Amino acid sequence: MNASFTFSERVLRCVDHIVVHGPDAIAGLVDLSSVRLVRFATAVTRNQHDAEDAVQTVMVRIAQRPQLVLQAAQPWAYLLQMVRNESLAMLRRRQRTASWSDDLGDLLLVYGVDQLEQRETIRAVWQGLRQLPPQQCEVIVLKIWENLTFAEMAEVLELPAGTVASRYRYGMEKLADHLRGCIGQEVPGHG
Amino acid sequence: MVNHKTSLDGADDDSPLVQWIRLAGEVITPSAQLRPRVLEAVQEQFRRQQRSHLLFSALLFAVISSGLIGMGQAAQRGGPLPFVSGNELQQRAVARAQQSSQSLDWALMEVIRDQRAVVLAGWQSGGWWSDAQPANHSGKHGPDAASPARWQR
Repeated sequence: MNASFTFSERVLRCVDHIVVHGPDAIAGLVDLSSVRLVRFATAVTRNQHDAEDAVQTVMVRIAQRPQLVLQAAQPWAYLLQMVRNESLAMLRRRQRTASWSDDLGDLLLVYGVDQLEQRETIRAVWQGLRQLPPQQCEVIVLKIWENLTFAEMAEVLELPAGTVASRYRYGMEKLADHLRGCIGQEVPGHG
Repeated sequence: MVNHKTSLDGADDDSPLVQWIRLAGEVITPSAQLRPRVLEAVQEQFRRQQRSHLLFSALLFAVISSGLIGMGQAAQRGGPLPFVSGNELQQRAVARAQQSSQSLDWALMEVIRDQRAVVLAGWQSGGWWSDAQPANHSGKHGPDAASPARWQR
């Protein structure tokens, strides 16, 4: 939680910067949060292009009205919520027009030297995440990538904490089934 | 936001599955175009906002100034109401009664009606001091035309 709170403070500082220096100062917030927002939005939209569009829309909105984030009790959680809502809207629009493919061609995955050997397993994890229902996928992502507690996730997703916890449990079970055979491998060290 | 953790939080943080998922999150990178795209979109939005503010201001200025100009023109066009004293009306009525052998009260009524027609014609034609003449029902103009013969005794 401390790490997330610190990140929230940094988000707040960036937004303050926008208020003082104008919309162009959004660059600071983009630099700080785009990696995390894009990977979260990618989990929701199941497509990195759509995820980046969703993040861009949210950034433009914040540049226009930074007060939205300033007034939030937890700026980072609020930002995640904004991106999630925009991603879901994008998902709805896309489902009306076309269906997405199950391949990972849209993903921009950059491996470190020590991660090259694990490429196939990492791709398998991504494929597993994409095969999960979006509701379970987003809970797993918020829990593991964003280190949110179930109470915090409940607030972001506007759901009871018990529902969030059960979605996480079911999602992890499905993912474990999908990755059976892969996860026996040794996980490379990461910082 | 609540800070306490539920019993499930952190239950399996060290499992290989969790570590693999964490690793999968670490390798994804936003495209290089995202940052410039966001900055461009923000600037475009800012420019659009400025343009619409400018347009709104210009529109507001045009509406207010045309209103003021219209009010000014109306005031200029209207000018003061032509003043006719009671004595003057009385004199005109006497003269009219003598000319047309009307009774004085009937002549006075016609003088007042003619005067009212002059005022109305001044408003409609755009100036008191133009040669506005009272109109009558037949479309003819002039003080005499305002007095139909059938009204005369």
